[in-house]
Amino acid sequence: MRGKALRLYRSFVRRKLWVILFLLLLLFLLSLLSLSLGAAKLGPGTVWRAFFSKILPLSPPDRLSEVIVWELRVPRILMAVLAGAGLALAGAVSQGLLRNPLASPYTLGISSAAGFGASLALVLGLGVVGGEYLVVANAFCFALLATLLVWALGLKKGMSPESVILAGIAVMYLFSSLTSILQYAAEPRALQGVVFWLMGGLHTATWEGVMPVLVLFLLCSPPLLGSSWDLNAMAVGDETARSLGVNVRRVRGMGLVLLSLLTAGIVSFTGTIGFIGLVSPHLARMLVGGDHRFLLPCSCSVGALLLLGADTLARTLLAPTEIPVGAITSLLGIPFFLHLLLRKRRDYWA
Amino acid sequence: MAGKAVVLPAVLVAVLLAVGYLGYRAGSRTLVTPESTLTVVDDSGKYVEVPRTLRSLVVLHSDAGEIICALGAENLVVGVSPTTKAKLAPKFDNVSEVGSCSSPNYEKIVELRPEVVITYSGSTGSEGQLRSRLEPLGIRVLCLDAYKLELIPRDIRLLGLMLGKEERAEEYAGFFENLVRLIENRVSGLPAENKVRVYLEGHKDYQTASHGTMGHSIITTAGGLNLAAGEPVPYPLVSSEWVLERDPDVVLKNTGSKVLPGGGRGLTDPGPLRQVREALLSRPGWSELKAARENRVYVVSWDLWGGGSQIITLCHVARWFYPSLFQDLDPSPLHRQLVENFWGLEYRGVFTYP
Amino acid sequence: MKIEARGVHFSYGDVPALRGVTLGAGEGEVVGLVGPNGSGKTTLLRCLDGILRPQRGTIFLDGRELGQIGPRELSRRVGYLPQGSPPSFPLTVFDTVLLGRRPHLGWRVGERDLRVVSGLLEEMGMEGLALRYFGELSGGERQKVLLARLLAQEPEVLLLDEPTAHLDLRHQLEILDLLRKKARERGITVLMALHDLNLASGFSDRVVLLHRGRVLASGRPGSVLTPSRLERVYGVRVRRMGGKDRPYLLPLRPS
Repeated sequence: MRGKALRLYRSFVRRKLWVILFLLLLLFLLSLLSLSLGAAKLGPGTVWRAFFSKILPLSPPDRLSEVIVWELRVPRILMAVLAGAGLALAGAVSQGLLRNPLASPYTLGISSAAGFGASLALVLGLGVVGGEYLVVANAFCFALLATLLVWALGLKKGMSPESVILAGIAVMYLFSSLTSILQYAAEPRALQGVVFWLMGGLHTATWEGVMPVLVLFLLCSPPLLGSSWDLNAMAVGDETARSLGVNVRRVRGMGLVLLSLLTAGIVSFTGTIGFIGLVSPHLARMLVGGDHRFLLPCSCSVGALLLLGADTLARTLLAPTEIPVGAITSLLGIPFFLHLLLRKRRDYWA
Repeated sequence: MAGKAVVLPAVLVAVLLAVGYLGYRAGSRTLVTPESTLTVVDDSGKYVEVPRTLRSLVVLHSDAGEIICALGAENLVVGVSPTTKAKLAPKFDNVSEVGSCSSPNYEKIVELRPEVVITYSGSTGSEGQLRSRLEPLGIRVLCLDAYKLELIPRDIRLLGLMLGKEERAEEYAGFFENLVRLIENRVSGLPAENKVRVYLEGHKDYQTASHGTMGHSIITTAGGLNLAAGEPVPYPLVSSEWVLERDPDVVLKNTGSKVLPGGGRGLTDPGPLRQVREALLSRPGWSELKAARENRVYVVSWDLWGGGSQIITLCHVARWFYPSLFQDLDPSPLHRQLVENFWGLEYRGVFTYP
Repeated sequence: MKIEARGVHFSYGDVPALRGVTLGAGEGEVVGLVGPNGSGKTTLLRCLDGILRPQRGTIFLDGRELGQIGPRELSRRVGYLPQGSPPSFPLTVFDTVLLGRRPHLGWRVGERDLRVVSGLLEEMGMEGLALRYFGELSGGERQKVLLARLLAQEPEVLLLDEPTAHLDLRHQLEILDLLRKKARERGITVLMALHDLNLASGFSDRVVLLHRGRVLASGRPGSVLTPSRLERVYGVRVRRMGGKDRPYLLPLRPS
């Protein structure tokens, strides 16, 4: 009987690690599959030769395959993985910081503000910088503005979860309604552009777009992952967390800023892709429980899998027409989630 | 704890990808290299280097598709948008679909290796993205805003030059310019108080068009006064009282694809158009409108409101506004000429009522 | 004096809660704080933990002012259990207790941390519950787990606000017994606010009676819990029974 608890705990932890590794393996396999699918008629053999010919000493097939694989498909898959992981991470952290199962980057107003910025650029041509990056820069700036608003409003009320949630919802509605007004004043052609943007899509993923998102992800995720213990403590309650030495105000403030920055960076390039940030943490919780040391990496994996899967479907189901990714994520994510929720008896939130 | 499990594979993957990417970039990416080129200015105002003789192109909107058919160069088109295919059937029935101008499918386009891709300027035509993704591969992007009546002759001549069909282009451009000039000349002397006051309604009930829109420019070119010209948004939503208060001389109704799925082209008799007109007149108080009493309420199908067909709409509208001035202007033979002689399609359908 | 409050005044906005409280507790001492609702027990505990800063007066830990001690060090030395049962959260018992090690952790959880937790679980007979989820436990079990978390902090001082509220008799006794045992074994100073006078009487070395933000009396249970004082403070007539040192109080009727 001695040390039984410890042994059980160790295997408990090991099992969680295996789950995460398994998810990563799945992600890798899905990436390979996704690489071989597309509107252009390239066989899997051709695709893999084109891909691996740059890494291993193989002779490449024709230049067309090279271009399609490396210029179009690889950046798109990378963007899907990064965006999925990033949004899921932001969602998981926001749910932990605010102790609310419905928290997500969307309910903090970031996505709506980005949508407004993009609409401003698409409809009126107004923006922070001109040229090619008009829409992206606008979306990003307005997303940051929303973050600042929510942060300032929350700070005024002592950074309590309730005040942050209310501030987030208020900001979300503010920018949503402004976007609606813009849509009313828009020409039909510009309007279509806005609608496409709001539904989210990865068809614009290029290497130039992937790099900033990658950098942002690499900058924001370590501190967020590092706050796992603090998030665990805060899950019990602000008072308890404080008594355990957690600077609740600072952790919540910094955490919000980081997750908003990450979301803003992603959403500026991909448009508003809903539900990844909301559903991934819940699915991850069902797999590895509520300990953030495992929940956060697992959410990232789940998010990446979901978005990559959804995007692969989006660009292959009705090729050459592309379905907006956001439509697929909501169609697939919610019923799946409901099904799991209803089947398991254990309440995974509390 | 889980950090270690994630970091190691992530680093491995990152290294692999970095190596691959650098290896890829080290080589050339150009897919298309034309022998000789000439530089033109397209409708976005940018300089574009196009092949001296075009051999393959992708067309993302039907307005340009029409011009290409008129110039007899449809065999050079390797990819089209679904709307272009549908509108100009059967010309492009065997051509691959490559997505729309607002959502092009890059993989499909690249696979076809066109020399030039034709789209609209601005974000409606995904101009920025198309340029940044295709031009490094050697594929040129040409922006032709052939939905604007005033730009159509220019676009025709530009394509004529690129396709080596200058003579035909002159003929086709002349068709437009002559008609526009004719109409403009005849209405130029009209004093403001004699001008016809017009209410234009789009697909959606009570949605009208103010300045800067295609509808507005057609009305003004034909010598009319658009009652909604001063409104702040391009497509304002007005109310029944608004119309009744202003009591227009002429009412123009543009019917949408929901009511007419096949467009005017698919109609054999004016029945559906008549129904639209009756529905309009049955609105409370509308039968008392001056336009209703004088029988000057006209319904136009949506396929007459885009691209080259606008010239025909202009003719119809000019005749409706000032029948005495345009007695000799018969739009139907002109429409037949446009569709059959220039585009090489079958002329059929009913497009206006009455 | 391990932990001391001197002349502490605290008001929530305009409403005064503590009006000049001076008390202290020594190493290994178990102090029971009693008093009716609103007498300032919770406020006092929060001041002692550094959550609230008194408007006047000072708190000392081992002779040092609380304000001088960093929050991390403070959380290593003082453990606080707030009132009420927390809403449940999705952690296992083991992870919940492990949370108590947070003040001592770096980024990694060390061997020692795991052993402290498993040792505590064994000691408290909760080994079998180690991988159960906190939300699945009964009230008494939850309270024991929270107590284990506090003990995992390896604190020098324990501040508990109503640790036995809503618990059945057996769990109440188990917990208080454990607290007393730990105080003796490890020299932990325990200050606990209790609503049940008899539990305070039975398990405290010293009882402090608070009335309207002031210390009315402090000393052995027998000397503090007199019927006249209790009538004055609670407005209830009581009959005192049992031993002289640790009396048993039977409430009769409101006076």
